[in-house]
Formats: sequence, structure tokens, C-alpha cells
Amino acid sequence: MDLFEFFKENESKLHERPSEQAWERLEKRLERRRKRRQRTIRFLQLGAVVAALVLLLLAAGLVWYFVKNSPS
Amino acid sequence: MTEQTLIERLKEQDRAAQKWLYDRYSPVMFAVCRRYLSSREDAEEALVSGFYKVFAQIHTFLGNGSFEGWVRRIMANEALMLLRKAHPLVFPGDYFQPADTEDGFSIEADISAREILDLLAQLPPGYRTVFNLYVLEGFKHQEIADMLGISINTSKSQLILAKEKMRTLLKAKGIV
Repeated sequence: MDLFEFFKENESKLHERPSEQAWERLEKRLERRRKRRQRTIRFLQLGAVVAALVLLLLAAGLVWYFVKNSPS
Repeated sequence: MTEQTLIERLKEQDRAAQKWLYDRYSPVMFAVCRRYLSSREDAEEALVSGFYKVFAQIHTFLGNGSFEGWVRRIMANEALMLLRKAHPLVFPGDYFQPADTEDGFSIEADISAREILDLLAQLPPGYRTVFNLYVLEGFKHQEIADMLGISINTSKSQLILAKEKMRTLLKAKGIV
């Protein structure tokens, strides 16, 4: 076989398990990312609630203003 | 688990599916990283970062090609990034286009994993990178040129030079 075939044929010999700590490190990074995403989602949810409350108060204020100042 | 089910579960960031994929692919992907990086620790770091990207960017896999090929490309890129961080890649001898001569060179020897890694480690990083990408990952010269920011001719010349060097190394080791 030629040089390229020789390396391709033998490539599977290089397959080897990484250490146990590799998965643990990866899992820690994934967990940090999950928590970051959760915090972002909670922050956005809170923002949406605050925005809705502000809009509600604004609408209520406008209604109150127009009712109070209506000519009748 | 079918590949489609696996990808759906990965998109939901299902930890059991992530572990399943890691257990199944880590030996192959670790080998990919080890071929570029001579230190085992660096290869493991590239593997961890590579899998993290696979899981974080799973939604960008559109199913156009092979899933394993997509993962392999991420690993190769991650290993290359780490390699470049340690030493900027230089491509010696890219100013000329050597002729690729076939001299009836044939190998039928049995070789161990350690010997393969030793041989690859003896290639200069530029030769080794192109050799890995072309011969073992199956990338085309155009793709290699894009990945490394070099010209197609540089990729071709590096491969020919890597081949020459590898033949010399194999002869010196008495493998051929």
C-alpha cells in the first residue's frame, strides 16, 4: 500500500479514551453555561413582567386622566 | 438511539444524550486532537473545548452532511486553534512547487499507535497539519487552504514535502 493508505489503515490504532477528568471538566463548563442561560431567562422574564406592569399603570393613568378631564 | 433522535435530544441540551455522544465519539475525536498536538494534556483540552462547542452550537448543524464529519471538523479546528496559540504555524518551503514523484514506494509493515504518533510528531507543525487534514481527515486542498488561511499551492506543496519527510523517517526507522 502507498504512504497515504498506510496511515489511513492504521488510523484506528490511535483511538484512545481520554481521562475521566475530561468529562468532568466538560460537564462543569456545560453546567456553568446552563446556569448562565437560566439567569438570562429569569432576567428577561422579570423584565417582561416589569414592562407589562409599567404599561398597565400607564394605561390606567391615561384612562383616569381622560375620565377626570372629560367635559361631561 | 437513531442519529435524528440523538440530535433532537442534543438540541434540548439533554445531559444523558450529551454523555452518550461523548462516550461514543471521544476515542475517535481524541485521536484527531492528538495527531495535531503532541502533548496529551493539550489534546485533552482541545477535546473538551471541541465537545463544548458541539453541544453549544448543535442548532447550527443543518443535517446537510455527516454528523460525525461535522463533529470532526470542530475538533480539528479546536486543535488547530490551540496549536496556533502555542506556536504560529509556519509553512517552510512554500515558495516552490515540488514535483510529486511516485517511486514505487510501498509499505506493508505493522506499526503501533506510539510509532504513528512519534512519526507525526517528527514532522514540522506545518507539514504535520496539512498531512493530517488531507490524509487522515480527508479534506480537499481548497478546504485546507480556507481553514489555514494559505493558498491551495501552499497546501499542495506542504503535502508533498510532508510525504517526502515521512518517507525518510520511515526509512530511517527501518519500517520500509
